[in-house]
Amino acid sequence: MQFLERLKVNLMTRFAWKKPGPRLAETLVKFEATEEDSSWHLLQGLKQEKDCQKKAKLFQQVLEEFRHAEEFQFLYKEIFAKKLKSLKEERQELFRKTEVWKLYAFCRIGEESAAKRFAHIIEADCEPRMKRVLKRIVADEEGHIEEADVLLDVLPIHEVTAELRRIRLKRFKESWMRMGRHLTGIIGKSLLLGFYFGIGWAFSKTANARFISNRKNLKKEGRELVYESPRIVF
Amino acid sequence: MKVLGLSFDYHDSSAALVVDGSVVAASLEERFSRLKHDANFPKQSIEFCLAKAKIDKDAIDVVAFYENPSKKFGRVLAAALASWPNSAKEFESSMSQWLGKKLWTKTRIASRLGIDPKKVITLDHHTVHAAQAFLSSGFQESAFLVVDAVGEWATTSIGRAYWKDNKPEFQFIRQSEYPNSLGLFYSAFTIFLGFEAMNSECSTMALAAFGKPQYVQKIKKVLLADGNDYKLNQNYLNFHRSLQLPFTKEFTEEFGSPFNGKYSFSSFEKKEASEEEQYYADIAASVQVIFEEAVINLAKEALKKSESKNLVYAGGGALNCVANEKIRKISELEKFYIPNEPGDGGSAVGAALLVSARSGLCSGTRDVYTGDEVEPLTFIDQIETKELKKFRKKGLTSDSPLSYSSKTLSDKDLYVEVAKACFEGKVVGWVQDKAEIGPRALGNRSILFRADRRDLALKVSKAIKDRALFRPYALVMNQNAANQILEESDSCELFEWMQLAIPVKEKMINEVSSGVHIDRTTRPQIAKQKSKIDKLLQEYEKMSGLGCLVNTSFNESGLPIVNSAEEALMQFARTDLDVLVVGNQVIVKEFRC
Ligand SMILES: [Fe+2]
Ligand SMILES: [Fe+2]
Ligand SMILES: [Fe+2]
Repeated sequence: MQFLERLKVNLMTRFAWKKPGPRLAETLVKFEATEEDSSWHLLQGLKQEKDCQKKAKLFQQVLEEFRHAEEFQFLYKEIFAKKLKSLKEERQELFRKTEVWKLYAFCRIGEESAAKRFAHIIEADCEPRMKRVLKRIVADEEGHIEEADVLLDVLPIHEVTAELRRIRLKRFKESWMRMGRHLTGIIGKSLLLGFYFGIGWAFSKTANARFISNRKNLKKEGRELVYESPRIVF
Repeated sequence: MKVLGLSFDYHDSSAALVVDGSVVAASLEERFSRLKHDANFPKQSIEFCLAKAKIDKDAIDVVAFYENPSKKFGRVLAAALASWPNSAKEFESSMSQWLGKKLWTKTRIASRLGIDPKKVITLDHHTVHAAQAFLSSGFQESAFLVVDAVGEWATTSIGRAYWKDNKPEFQFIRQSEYPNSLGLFYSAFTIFLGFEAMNSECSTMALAAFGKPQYVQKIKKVLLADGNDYKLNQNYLNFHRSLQLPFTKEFTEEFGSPFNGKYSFSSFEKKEASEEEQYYADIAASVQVIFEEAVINLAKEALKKSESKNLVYAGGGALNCVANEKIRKISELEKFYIPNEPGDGGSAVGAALLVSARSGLCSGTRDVYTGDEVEPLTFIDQIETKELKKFRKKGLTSDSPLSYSSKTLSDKDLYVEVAKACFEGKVVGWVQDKAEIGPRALGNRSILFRADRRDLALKVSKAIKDRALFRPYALVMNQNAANQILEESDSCELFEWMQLAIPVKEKMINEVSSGVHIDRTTRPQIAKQKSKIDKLLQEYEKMSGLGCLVNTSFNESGLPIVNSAEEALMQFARTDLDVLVVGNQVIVKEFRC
């Protein structure tokens, strides 16, 4: 897995992250979303956590992850001279309200893999401005790993190890699923384009005609837009 | 009967729970997810609604979705095919979204909630808008007007709403359909002015005040008048290919390229703008005039054809408070109502109310504080304030505090203490009880400060909200102050919910200058008597002689209004906000040991 990851980073750096371009832009948007998402998840943990000391520590971390997201926003603006448009993907449920500690376990894994990945990108010699920001973030993330370990320290070791293993497996599965989705996406795309160029022309006239008379005078025509009563099942 | 209303997949997802005709809970998903205008499935809002009503998903009788996906799919498909063969990319991206997800909304809702698909129904979008306005208006009969970007096909609807056998009827008189859309027309120019569509239409309205409407005739070539109706000239704007970049070659030849930069206009200080900026401001002013003309005509037609003296108004267009005030002035109009959240964010409420009312259950509630409730912060003393210095917003020039101090006060002391802080020129974050649904903070998630100090307005724009200086602030006032400040006022909801731009009396301008726009108007909130914000204003009046403060939504640029105390504390820590009030807890920044 480590080897594959390193290979991926090296390839991406060579072909996409060396110079400003659409792939680099896409990556910055993704990195921004990841940082912002960790800030949000930690905020949810903070709301659930009962211990005031832990709450205060988490609050600091929420702000730090939020700052990381901002760092990518600033970097994007610096490189591409426009505002980064956030991804806004649906938030995933990482833990149940009664099991905040599972969130810390999740963060532990997330921090570790982000720190490793960022370190690889720095090593592979990416765009210099990106490198500068990543260096700053990697230092913080290493601190977060230690903090997550402290938060997890008070729990039974076997439970934590089992949870960490479960999350690692889940992430691994997810990355395969993502690849699968990507592939099906490509097939779907080709089918759609096939349809579009194959028989799209036959419908384009009808479609255009629909836009020519697009005004309804409902009263004059004696028609009313009647609300269909829902079938209510009790 | 328990009806869950839902809206998602476009912008401003939301959920609302109506039990026996009353809204029990409603919230925009963005308030939980912290993603502004979040369009995803409103999972957390649904959980919040069910928890609030203390019911399980199985207790829901009907789930009502705010539009009809298959009808909408027809429109999206037709639009994508209309520009064949030049729309391959757009066709592919919209179809993969629709075929992969959006078209199966009913099944998606059922499977995500784990309920019987038969319980899920989809409604006509403009009927939902009409219902969201009429059913909370309390009117017995009324004309209705709906103006938004686009629903399934409809973009503008006028009609008559009334009660028959204890059930509401919505009789549509006339409808305009895509692409002839006033909303899309306004949004297209919003993009042209350098802002984001479906987000910054208010910036277009604010910018308009700095311009002269000298391009009205020219822009009327884009939106062609057709009696009371209008047609969009597709030689200039083509939405089929992209809602984000609809400008044709003819358009850019006539009007130039979209603005790219930062406007130097300011609502708070004298600033010279470049010729180029002035041009775009003049365009904004002209677009605003055309929009106003169009909605006034539509409102008049709705009143006339429905033979009513009442009007209810909904859809995103109803967020334009300058136009709203002009509609209010129509002489034939007696009663006028706009729901607090007239846009798609409020359509979950509309959908749920509609289904309930059709079953004979409608209580006509108008509560706007239907969101999540705030809880006090327990960890202020544990925060290592000095450590937070590095997370402060970039560019702040002020000192970083050494510590935070927190105290909990009695009700009476609270109002005195906070009024005093405001009087001393502090900027106060004010978080109370349940959050407001809708885009405006109405005194439960607000930032408050003195109205007669423009320097404070500048501080809030630059060091707290990160907001463009040409965007004005609004005023919250008690009835006494309203009588002194506003050219006219009324006790209706329009004045309670900041839905109108009202001229300020000349002699009062200096007293409230930081909440008045360049055109001498303000969007007032006249505080509901005995509400917490009203009590605060009464105390403030004792000190300053005028019960009026500036009230702006508690958020940073790009983020939704804060929902919880923790989010409020984040902004407090990151910015130059001086005081944070959460319920009766007052937190201040200390700069000395
Ligand atoms: Fe981070
Ligand atoms: Fe981190
Ligand atoms: Fe709408």
